[in-house]
Amino acid sequence: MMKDNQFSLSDHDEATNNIEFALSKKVEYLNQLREAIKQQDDRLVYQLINQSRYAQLLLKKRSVSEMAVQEELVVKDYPQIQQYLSLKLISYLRDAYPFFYFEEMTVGKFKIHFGNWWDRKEFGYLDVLNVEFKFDEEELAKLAKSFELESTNKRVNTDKINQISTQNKERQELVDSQDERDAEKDKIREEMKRNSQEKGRPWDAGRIREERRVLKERLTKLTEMDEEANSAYQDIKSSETDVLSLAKEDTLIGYERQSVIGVFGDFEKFTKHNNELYSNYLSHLISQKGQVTE
Amino acid sequence: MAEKEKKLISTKSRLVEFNEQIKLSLNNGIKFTETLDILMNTQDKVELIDAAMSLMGYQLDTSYLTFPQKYSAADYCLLFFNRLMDLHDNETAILHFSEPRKALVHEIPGINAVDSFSFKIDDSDGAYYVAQESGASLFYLNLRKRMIRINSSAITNVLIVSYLEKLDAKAIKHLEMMLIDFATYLKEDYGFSVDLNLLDSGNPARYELAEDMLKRDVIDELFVLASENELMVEAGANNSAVLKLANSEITIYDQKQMGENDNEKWVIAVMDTTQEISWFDILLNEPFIRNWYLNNISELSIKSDPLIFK
Repeated sequence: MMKDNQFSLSDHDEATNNIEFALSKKVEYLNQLREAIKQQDDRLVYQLINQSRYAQLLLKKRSVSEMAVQEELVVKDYPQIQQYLSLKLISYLRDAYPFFYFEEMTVGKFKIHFGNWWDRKEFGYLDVLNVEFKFDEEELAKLAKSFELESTNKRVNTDKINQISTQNKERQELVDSQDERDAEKDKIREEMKRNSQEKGRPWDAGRIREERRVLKERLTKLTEMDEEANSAYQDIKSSETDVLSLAKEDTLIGYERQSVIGVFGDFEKFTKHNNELYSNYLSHLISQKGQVTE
Repeated sequence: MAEKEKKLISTKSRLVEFNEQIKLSLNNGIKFTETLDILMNTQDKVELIDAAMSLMGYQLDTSYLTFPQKYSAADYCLLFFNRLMDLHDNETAILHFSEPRKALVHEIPGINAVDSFSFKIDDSDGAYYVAQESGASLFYLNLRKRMIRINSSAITNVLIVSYLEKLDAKAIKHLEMMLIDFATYLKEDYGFSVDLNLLDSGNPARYELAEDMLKRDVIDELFVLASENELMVEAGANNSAVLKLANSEITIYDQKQMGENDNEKWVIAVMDTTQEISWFDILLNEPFIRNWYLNNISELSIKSDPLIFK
């Protein structure tokens, strides 16, 4: 009697089959991944950890196999997987991008240094799992700009440096003309004295007042210039530091540009190779494997 | 009577005493000339340095006998310098009696148009080798303490700044080699303690900056200048800066970061396969590095033995 009031349960056998099937799929996935790693088959590892990326970028297909749902099983293992994958990837990148230097920050995470020169820039990160550069946008933009400026024979900071140089020239002139200003101030003070002693007729009062106003204005202007001249020396010194850091950046970018030209020919080809890094690298792995088995 | 006799005896003894003192003084003079003979003529290196030390401290005059014509301790020291070079068949400098100064000076072919050299004795039997025009001491020599110390700032100011304006690098290199040779003979013949400082061309030589810290700006400037000269300052290990030249490699680094010292201490090192190139040679032969060094001399000046050169 009571039994009839019970909800009917799903079929236990079916449930058993379902979970068994689901787990066996997982085991199958993990076995496959483990075997790929054991065989040092990085191409397969890349395929297994991100099927859709592999299909899209390498096979140029949208279809994703059922295994894709298992990928999340290894999310927590990403650092170790990255570390594993980094060996071959970085050795490939060292050939393809001889001007990039990779520094492992934490397990599987790599910082990119551009060049082997003094104070080379940190240029972003390497995303090992996605075989992708995460460049520092600001630095990349500066490098791009240096290519744009190629035809004008200018460097990225040329205008800024010229502007500071012009400013410094003016500052120097201000310092150099101190004697002239002192002489002129003496002259104005003389004239002011004469002006204050002038006893004109009533209708001259306006003219005298106006004269005095003009003299006072000129004196104020000269005093202001004196003050500027006083700080000019310090300004010149500190702007020399600015010029140095701008010139240094130009030098850095110049080396970066030469490196890109040396390897890729121009900025467009460099960018294209960066954008297609995933498929370039995996194709490379495939071609290498072909060589090995042959 | 007794009084008169006493007087006679005392007069006689005074004469005897006087005669004895003259003899002693003459003997003292004879011994002096014998020692000077040795200094001028001996072929034995030990005799040579002993004679020099003896003459440098020689009391030739006595209250009974004085010699109006004399040479000074500085002259004997210079004579020793020359004789030691002679014994090694190295005749770089010419010993010359300077009439106006009434003293011996060194004249060095190629340099003699602008400068001459002599020693200046200090109060602890040391001698400074002084460039006459500037009065700068190129090195310190102490025969008794068996030591020689090169003065980096005088070498820089005199040889690099002053001479290079008027003379060609070859003549200056000649002078550099003479100083190195002299120091080397002192070391090999007498076991002197030698600090060649910026003249040391050995690869292990570290040219210590007088200031422990070094601002990055200073290296930035070299980086930019090198690039303008078609060269590259590279990033070396542990924050060091490396500049490769045609025949040598310069490294500027902090010994603490390199694990060579407990405290921050910036040094310059110059490496080359034959170990013939010193920091001095770099300054002499690489104009842009010289300009960089001199422009930043307050930051970059190389330390000399602080006990001697303050």
